[in-house]
Amino acid sequence: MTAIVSAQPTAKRISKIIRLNFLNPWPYLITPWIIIGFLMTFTFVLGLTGVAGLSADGVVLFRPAYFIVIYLFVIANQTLYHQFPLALSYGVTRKDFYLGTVISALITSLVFAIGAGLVALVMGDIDLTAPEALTHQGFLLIWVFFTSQLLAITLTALYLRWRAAGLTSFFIGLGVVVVTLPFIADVWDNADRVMRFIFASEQLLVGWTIAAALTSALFLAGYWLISRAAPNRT
Amino acid sequence: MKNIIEVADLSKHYRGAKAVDGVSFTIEKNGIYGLAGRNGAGKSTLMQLIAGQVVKTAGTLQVMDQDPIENAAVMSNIAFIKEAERYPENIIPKVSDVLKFAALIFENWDAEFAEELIADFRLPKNRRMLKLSRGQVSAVGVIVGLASRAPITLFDEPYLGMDPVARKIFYDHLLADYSQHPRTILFSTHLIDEAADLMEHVFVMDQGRFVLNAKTDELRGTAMSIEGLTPTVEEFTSGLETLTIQVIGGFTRAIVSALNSAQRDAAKDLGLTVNPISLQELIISKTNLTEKLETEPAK
Repeated sequence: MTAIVSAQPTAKRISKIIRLNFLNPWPYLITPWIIIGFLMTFTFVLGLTGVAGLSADGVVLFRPAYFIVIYLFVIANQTLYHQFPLALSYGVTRKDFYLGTVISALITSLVFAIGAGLVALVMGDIDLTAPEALTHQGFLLIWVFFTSQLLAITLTALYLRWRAAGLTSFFIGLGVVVVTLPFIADVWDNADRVMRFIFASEQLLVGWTIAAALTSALFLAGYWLISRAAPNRT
Repeated sequence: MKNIIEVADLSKHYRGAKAVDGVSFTIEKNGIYGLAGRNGAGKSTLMQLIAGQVVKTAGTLQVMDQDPIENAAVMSNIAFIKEAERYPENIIPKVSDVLKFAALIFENWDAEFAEELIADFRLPKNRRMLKLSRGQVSAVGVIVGLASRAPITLFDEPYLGMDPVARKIFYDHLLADYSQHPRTILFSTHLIDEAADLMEHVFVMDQGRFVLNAKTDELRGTAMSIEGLTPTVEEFTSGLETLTIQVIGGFTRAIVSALNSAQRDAAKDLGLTVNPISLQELIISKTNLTEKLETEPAK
């Protein structure tokens, strides 16, 4: 007789999902470096200058690294959209799948932040005499990579939960915010002053609190949305 | 735990459409159950409910004495193989990757058996899933379902596009492996006659409801066909429960509920031909009956 299987501990179940996400190393771990390598070569060959991006406090990073943000966004979206129905069919719970996928996103963010830092170092875009700013930039890079993936995961969870109606409602809401934001900023007199206040080096705590709140909100929204999401009706 | 699945008055509605409508049944541990019905009858939704993929609208659903939704203790015992399963190209591009994926998840995974099935289905292990034919993709699903040895295995019309030889391989392996490793298998199919010998018990759904829930052996003798000249058939069947009637010119073929030996003799005396009918024909008749009753309630 086939033995009834006992549920494994949560940590083991989640680690399985992480292993599943990296089962094929190409999309997450190989292809992005090919893109970066190509862009670096392209930049060298053309002798481009001023390709640095995300400048702040003496530290600049190789701008092509930010293409990886878009790449990771797409990959995170595909992972959830395509893998979720299959994982569910194979007896994985939504919660385990979500947590495993989010941790996978965090791992790739760390890997690519380190990679992007190394690329910047090779390009001579890092000022090693400013360690504090370097740390700040490093965390900022991890946050950008991770949050962009989390945004993709949450938007995909929104689609899986409410399909096109959910996404349409979200983008209508986003449109309203984008349209009204300049008005609100105008009311505040000077949006630039507000942003500079948030991201000024002496206000780092405020900036990071807002960043952490945004990431947490995305994480919780994704968790809530996926908890009742269903694969396509067959 | 005698019953591994217990369902009472289960419903699933999608914006007013009743995909599953007040269904009640039990499935005993270790057995092969067939689920038949027309397209849109609610078979896939019922399986999705059992697999914890969709949330019920009303009723009770217990799998291994528990609610399956987000329940790792239950879900880790379920393999759900769907007709139109999609395999994520970016994560598991090749047949071998799908097997690795399944091996990671299923606790009872039998890699040796999976290899045997791959050879029998003549699947190229290193070919990309996108390059496989529809039947070969179905074979991959079937291999995962069988080699998973999940205590509850749900096959939702798993052999889309599979040729008759491949389907025979599937049936043979299913039966052989089931006898070695008994488990609970529920599979939906349109090819009822082909799969009839596998099913110990059959459920038939129509418009979200069960129209039949019986052991296959008991079901086989529950209806017969009467063939002959139309007036004679009409006269003979007037007092019988008639499931379907086909009239071709002056000739009529009626499917009626089981006849006793005296009725069979009487039919023969009238020059009518009495024949047993196949399970598929019986199910078609039962499904048509529902429509007839609903469209003509006065009768």
